[in-house]
Amino acid sequence: MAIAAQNNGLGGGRPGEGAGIANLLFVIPALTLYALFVLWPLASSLYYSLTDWDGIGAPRWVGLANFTRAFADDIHLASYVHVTLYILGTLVFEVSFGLVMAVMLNSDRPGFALLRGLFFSPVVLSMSAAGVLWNFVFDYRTGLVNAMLKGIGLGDWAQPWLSQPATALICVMLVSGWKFAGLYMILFFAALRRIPRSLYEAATLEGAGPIRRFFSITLPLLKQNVLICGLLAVTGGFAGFDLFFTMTNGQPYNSTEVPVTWIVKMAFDSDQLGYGIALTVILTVVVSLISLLYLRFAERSHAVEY
Amino acid sequence: MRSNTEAPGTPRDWLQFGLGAVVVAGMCFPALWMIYSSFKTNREIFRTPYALPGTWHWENLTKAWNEGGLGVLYVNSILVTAASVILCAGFATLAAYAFARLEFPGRRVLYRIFLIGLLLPPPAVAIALFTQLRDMGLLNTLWALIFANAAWSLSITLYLMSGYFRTLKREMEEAARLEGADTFRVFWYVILPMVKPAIITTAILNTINIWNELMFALLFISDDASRTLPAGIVRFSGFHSTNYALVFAALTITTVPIMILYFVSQRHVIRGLTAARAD
Amino acid sequence: MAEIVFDKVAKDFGGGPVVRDVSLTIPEGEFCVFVGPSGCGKSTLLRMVAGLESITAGEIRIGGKRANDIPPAKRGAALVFQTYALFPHMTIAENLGFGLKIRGAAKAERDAKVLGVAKDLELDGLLERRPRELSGGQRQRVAIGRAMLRDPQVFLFDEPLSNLDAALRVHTRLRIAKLHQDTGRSMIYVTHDQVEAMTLADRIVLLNTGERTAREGSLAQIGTPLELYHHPRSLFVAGFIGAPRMNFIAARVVEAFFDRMVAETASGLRIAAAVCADGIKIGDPVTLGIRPEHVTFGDTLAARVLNVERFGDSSLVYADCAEAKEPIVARAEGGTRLKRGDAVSFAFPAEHVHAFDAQERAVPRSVDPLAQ
Ligand SMILES: Nc1ncnc2c1ncn2[C@@H]1O[C@H](COP(=O)(O)OP(=O)(O)OP(=O)(O)O)[C@@H](O)[C@H]1O
Ligand SMILES: [Mg+2]
Repeated sequence: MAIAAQNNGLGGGRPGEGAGIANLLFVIPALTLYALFVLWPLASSLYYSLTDWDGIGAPRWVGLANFTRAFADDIHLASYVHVTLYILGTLVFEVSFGLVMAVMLNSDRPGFALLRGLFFSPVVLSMSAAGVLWNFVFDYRTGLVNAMLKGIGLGDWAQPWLSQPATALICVMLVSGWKFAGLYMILFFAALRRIPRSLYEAATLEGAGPIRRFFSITLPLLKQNVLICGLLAVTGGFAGFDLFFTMTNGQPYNSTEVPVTWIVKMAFDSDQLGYGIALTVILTVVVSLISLLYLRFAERSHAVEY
Repeated sequence: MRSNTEAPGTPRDWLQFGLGAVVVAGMCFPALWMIYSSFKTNREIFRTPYALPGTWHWENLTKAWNEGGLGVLYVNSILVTAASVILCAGFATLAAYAFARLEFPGRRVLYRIFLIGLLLPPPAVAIALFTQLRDMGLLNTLWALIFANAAWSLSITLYLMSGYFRTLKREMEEAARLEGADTFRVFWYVILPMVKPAIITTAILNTINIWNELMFALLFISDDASRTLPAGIVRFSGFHSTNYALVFAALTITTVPIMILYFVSQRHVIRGLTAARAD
Repeated sequence: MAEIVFDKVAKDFGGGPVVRDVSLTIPEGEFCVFVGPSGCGKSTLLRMVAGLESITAGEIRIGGKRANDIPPAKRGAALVFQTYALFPHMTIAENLGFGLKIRGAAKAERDAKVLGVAKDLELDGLLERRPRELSGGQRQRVAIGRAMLRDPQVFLFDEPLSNLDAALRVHTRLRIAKLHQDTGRSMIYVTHDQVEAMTLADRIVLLNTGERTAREGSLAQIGTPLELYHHPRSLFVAGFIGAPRMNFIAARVVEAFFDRMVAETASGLRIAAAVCADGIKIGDPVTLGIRPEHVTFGDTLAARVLNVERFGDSSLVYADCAEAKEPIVARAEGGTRLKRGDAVSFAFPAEHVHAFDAQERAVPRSVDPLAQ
């Protein structure tokens, strides 16, 4: 291939080493695994999405019928609305909260490292454990939230938080924030550490206060990181499943239905694998398009050098 | 913003610490509540949700362990996690070495193809993968989870490892080559020992992810004998939705070990995450 | 037997030629030093001999055999890297014995050989340490030891002393010279330090960079250290060899004879040079050159002292004058009384003056200091 002639310092082109087919041996195990369990199902999804299939009999070719059905499926369409709201929520509760905490916990003094470690700890919990735990926190009868409201004399405000459409999605967002703010905090914290201290000292000498310094130094210099974290939140959000499944599984009245919970229901509870797979294809296309657009956009507003 | 000395703090520093501590305490409380509630009786949880247990009912833990079949779940989770992490680490290291250092036909294209996996969410293939695993006869076996998790961890691991390879000086490899080592022995005697830190970092990240993985576990496993912890916990809490103490006990048993692993290896976790995502 | 031949060797990394048209024979047992400015391709040439870099065009023959396609390990060349390239995870003993192990030597034989070389290099107390527990000089010795254990046809060194302090540099230089005498093997030594080049080399190969490479190939000049010093082939060589640098003065030819030339500077100063100028036309621009150690105090060129650097045994006098853009540098005796602001007058003995034509080629000298 053309690469062989290029020899850009990444690779050999050395005598006795050749542009060897033999070197391919190093890649073959990974490639096999990846092809079998990532690429092949991805490709076969394309085929199955054009069939009507209950998963047992032979798939029957139906052309684009699954897709026309998907665009007329109200719950499916609504699931994209819910997931969009959820993503907006995560941008606030995860990314922005994480950024604020990164700034607040950015200090070399003793104790701050412990706070950062603790703040990050929910990230390593499993989503299912987090979901189950928070189900108890939000429980109507015995939950921590309602008990607290009662404790401070606001017993009337007690709500069935997870079983009414008005609050269920918000609750999931909050839990998601609890779980992931630590991740974004650490990412931003690492980036903050790379900003030279002299910039802050210069600004302080100019008379800039903490708020001013945040908006005129920290934020502009973290632009690239904010963009990347935004991408993480968006792509991660579209694929969100675990928390929704353990906390509400789409209930009440499909008000917290997101694409993946709906896909799983269609495919497994209703035995419509063809349709379910078509929905995964739509999800893949949506996520890839958004990632590509986002990366293009992020590329244009380039990284800051300092 | 950033304190610049280790001298006793100014009031502003104390305010900063105090505020941070309050937020962090608020964040940690639910988890602490879960842990100490698992030693209470249901009645206590209901009556005095905040209070510490009057007497510490350690038997809740053994009861949860037995009733939930947590032992089996634990063994399965350990097997799945260990096998997937090792498989992924081995394959990804070999491939990263080739991508970073060797010439072979299709190098660039293949690397791009591996990077696609960074943006793909696992649900994108979940259903198709389910039918494929069924046709392969792997459904309801741990292999289904091992292969799926290892394959889906390859992209990020490969990406991180090749980044690490690029920071390594080539001279060591060249010296070994001059001494007569062939490609494989260069890899074995020189590369592998030098990339050990990166292997450990990525392995810890993958351990956390795979240990917690839920969707594949729910879809591909329906036998109690092959279930893993995250799926098992969801099921268990569904069966015992009113027996709070028992569910809390089960949650505590399953989450505390991973928390300990995190606190022990915090440095690696954070290094891996920041290398993976920040820029 | 292990003669190394470069035959029209060229290297291109994809962005135009880096090394071009190198033809050169290094006879068995010669100590050959490659020098040149940074980026001129010294390392590249060396790595091509070692087999770490492919050869874009031409061929390299080692011991009469075309080496282009021979794998690195089979070329009989050992390379000492600038950064030493010791394996960080192995002890010194393992580092030294690695090659023997790869080549399948038995453990006992390996240990004996490693110990032998370690004794030679005074490393025997350090064998169980790891590279990071060694000083720079010790690491350097391990790197040399590793090369010795290969018992190669040819030793290759890539700036092996550049990470050492001045005292260690001298010490290690002597050690390398001794290694050469003891083994009698060919050596190719890359450096950008001309003191190393002048002191170690049997022969120096001076390399061109940039557009000079494109114009005349990579080789600026090949010769013994004194040949390069006394008979530089071009302005570039004259300026590169010798420290401090040769003084240059622009002038025009007013008289040209078969063994002598007189040139006049813009300000009307006449300077004679002992060169074979019969091919030179009156009125041609030339650049005259004279080394600081050959400038004398006389009455030819009036200048004003800018600075005096005193080394004890001698001093360097920097002086401004109308004739040259750069200050004229002259070596004076250690106890000179000159100081900043003094007026001085220099003389340029004709037998030490070099001349370079408009193409920067040297006009052959009519005296040969090497002949005496
Ligand atoms: N792998 C490579 N890919 C592309 N260009 C390269 C590569 N290696 C070296 N070069 C280029 O080739 C030229 C010669 O490099 P080389 O390392 O041989 O210089 P050098 O004479 O050893 O310089 P120095 O004295 O700084 O070590 C440089 O311009 C360098 O940028
Ligand atoms: Mg070099």
